[in-house]
Amino acid sequence: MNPVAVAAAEASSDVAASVLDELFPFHVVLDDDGVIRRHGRSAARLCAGLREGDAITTHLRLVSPGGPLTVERLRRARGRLMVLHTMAGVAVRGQVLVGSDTVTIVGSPWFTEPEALAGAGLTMSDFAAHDPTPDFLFVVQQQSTALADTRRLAERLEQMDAERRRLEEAERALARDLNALPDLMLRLDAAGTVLDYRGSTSFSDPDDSTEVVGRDVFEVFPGMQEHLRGALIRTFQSSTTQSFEYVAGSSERPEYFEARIVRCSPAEALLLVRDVTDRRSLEHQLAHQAFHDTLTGLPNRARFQDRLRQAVADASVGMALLFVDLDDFKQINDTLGHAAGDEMLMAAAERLRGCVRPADLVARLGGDEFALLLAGVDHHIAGEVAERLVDVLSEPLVIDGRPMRVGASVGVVLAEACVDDVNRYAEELLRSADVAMYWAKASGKGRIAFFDPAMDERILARLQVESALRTAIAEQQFVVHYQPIVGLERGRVVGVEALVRWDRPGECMVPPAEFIPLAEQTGLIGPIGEHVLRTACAQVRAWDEAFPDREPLELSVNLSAVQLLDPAIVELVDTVLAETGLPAERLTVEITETALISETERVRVVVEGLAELGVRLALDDFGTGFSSLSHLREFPIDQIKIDRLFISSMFEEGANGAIAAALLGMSRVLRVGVVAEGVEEAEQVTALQQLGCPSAQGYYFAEPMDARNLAEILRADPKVTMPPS
Amino acid sequence: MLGMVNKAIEDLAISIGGPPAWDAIRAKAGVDVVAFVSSASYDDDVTYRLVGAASEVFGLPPEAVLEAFGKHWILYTGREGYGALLTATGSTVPEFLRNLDAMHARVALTFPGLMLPTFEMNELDDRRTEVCYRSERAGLAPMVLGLLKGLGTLLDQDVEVAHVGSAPGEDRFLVTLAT
Repeated sequence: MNPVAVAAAEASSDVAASVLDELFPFHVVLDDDGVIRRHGRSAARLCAGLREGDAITTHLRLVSPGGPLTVERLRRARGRLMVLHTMAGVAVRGQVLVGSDTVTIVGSPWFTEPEALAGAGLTMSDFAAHDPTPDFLFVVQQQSTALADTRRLAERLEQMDAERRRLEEAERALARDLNALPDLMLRLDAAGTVLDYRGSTSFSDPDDSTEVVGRDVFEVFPGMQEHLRGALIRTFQSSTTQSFEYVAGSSERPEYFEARIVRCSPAEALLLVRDVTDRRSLEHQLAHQAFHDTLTGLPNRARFQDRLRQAVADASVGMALLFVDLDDFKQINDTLGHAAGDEMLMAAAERLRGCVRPADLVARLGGDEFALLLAGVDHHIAGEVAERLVDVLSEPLVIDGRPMRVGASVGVVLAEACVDDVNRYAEELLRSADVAMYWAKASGKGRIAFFDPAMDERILARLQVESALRTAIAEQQFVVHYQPIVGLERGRVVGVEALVRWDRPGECMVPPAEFIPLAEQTGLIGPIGEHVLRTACAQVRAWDEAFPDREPLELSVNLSAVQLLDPAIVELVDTVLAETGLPAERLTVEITETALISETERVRVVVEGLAELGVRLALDDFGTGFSSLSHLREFPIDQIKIDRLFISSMFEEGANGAIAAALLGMSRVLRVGVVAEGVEEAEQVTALQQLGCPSAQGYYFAEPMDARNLAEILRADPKVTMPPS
Repeated sequence: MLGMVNKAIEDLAISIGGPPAWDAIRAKAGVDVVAFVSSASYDDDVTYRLVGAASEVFGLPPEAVLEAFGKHWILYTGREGYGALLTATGSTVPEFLRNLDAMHARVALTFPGLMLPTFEMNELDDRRTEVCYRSERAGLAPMVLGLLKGLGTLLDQDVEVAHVGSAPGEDRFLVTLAT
């Protein structure tokens, strides 16, 4: 309702009829008794028989606000939207104009469907120019038309889709028909003489270039003679179509043909020949791919299982199953890339094939796992073959231009007489060989192990721990504890060593010795080590912020031998330092001498990479291993950590008592830092001070603790109580 | 141009020559539209090309095609999609003509930015109305002629329509009700 029009109309109760007609084609002027005194043309059209002098209640009823239609109620409804209904049920949205002695209902018919407009006998002329009802109807109509368009479009698309499918089917049918056409068609008499022919005879006898017509078909196609002669006779005898296949060509390049003979008259038959070499080759190729590993060409798991079941069913006794897994293959693959990994797998496959007899089966089960099935062998021979496999696979390979070694672990199981379900026993054999292999690998790689039923339980327990480790990583059950390192000269905490603990739900805190070896074997050391490094670096930076007045702490983090073989660790350390903002020179990476011994060249790359970052390197547990001075010279070592063994035995008579002093003296000469580990007694502190040891850690000062407790120590920053010297 | 206009050409073509005629027109016009959407706006060039192609396919002058599809639109295409509103525009030819411009004004409100024609009426007497059609599009006067003739059929009134004058951007028609 146009407010300006309403205001103008209401400004005077004596609104000119012509103005009202113009502004509101639907209007009804009432006196105080509710009698119609005047009305608009639209009102007359909508309310059949409406005349001046009629009571308004005979033509309209009030819907909103509810209640009877009285002048009093109309006066009270001033300024509100009113909804009225004609006796025919047409809705009118309106408003009341109140004059001194009249009440005027102004409004417009309201429709929600365009068709209803015509049904009520109205046209656009019955609406004022400002009335939005026609616009609303137009929008409604528009929406309806759009829906109809959409339906039409959808139908058309469906038709097009159906047409496309029909064309595709026709195309396929045509292709089938074309494929069914023979490459060669010959008309023969009952004796096999060629009467006529269509197509190419190039695949008959390649050396025979003479005319085909008039000759004996068996001469023309010597390769199919065997099948053709009988088929021709049967065709004339029974009038049924005879089909057969035959193979020509050499064994290296066989050619496959399909032939049909159809009797076309009592004296004649048609020989239809099709060259199906391409199709057969593809079928053979697909069949081969289904049962062979595409990389190595060896039979795959499906083929191996099939052959194993067959062997078990035939005679299981005297048969051995060897399960081979390459050692450290994943690291090689990750380090040198998949192409190098593939090269290694191919070389390994070749070596495995070379170790067994032609009748033995060698298969690749997947990844770096292979299996061998040896027939007619006993425990002794199976063991010899397994040893040979380990030896052969450990010989150096040149991969990507570099000499590499890939060891292997082999699990062996000997089949016993199968009295039960063949399939189940075959599966059991494979699983037992797998368990034995796992055992061999866990025993130190490059080994063989014969299956023993007791292995099952132990392996199971180990698998359970491995599974728990994976859960622990996912659920962040690994926490970092810190043990203070104390500067012995001033008695202050100068650094911390980060130590991982497993906060296993429902158990005491698990120490690293109980899970790190398994984490190393399973490759889970990677994510665990990253978590420790990241957490500890961030924590030390947090302490920097919290205690700005104290001297910045040094941080020591342990790296395992496995981590040292992975060049990616250098990038990880660099990333973590950048992310946390910890200066590289405040991070000391602790490594063991043992880690330096194995794979020296690979470790050197990592160690030198870390040194280039500016990270300090410490030799942990120094004195217990090789204690080779050459390591201190060859590698950029900044610090040695004297093992607790030499600290606890400092006051003993003999060699052990003198080692700590000797190591300290050596460190001064070589200009490397020293931390004494495992300090538990005041006397040890005194002795170390007297020997000039710069720093130490151990229960005498503090045991490893969580970050919150260590923060309390740092807040108090006490001078550690030193024994009287 | 609104899709409903192009749809009228399609409908007319199919009603005369079946789907093959429409396919031929589309191909000749180079119009690769699966189905026109009534309320979508298409380039005017599409309409002109379709008219030209229909003219060739049916062997009619473009003016005759335009007039035929103007008539077809009001009697079939427009009636199908907008029948109720067409009827509501007026129950007689004079009433329809009086409301024609207002109807276009309301269309313009629903489709802002659309280039719509205007119609000015001059009721000369009870039987004769002069319709002045103004549009920025050139050459569509024959279509208006067809629309006005179809209007008489739609409202069941005998009318004679004559194109009585034209000037740039403007065409005048005389609509005469039969006695």
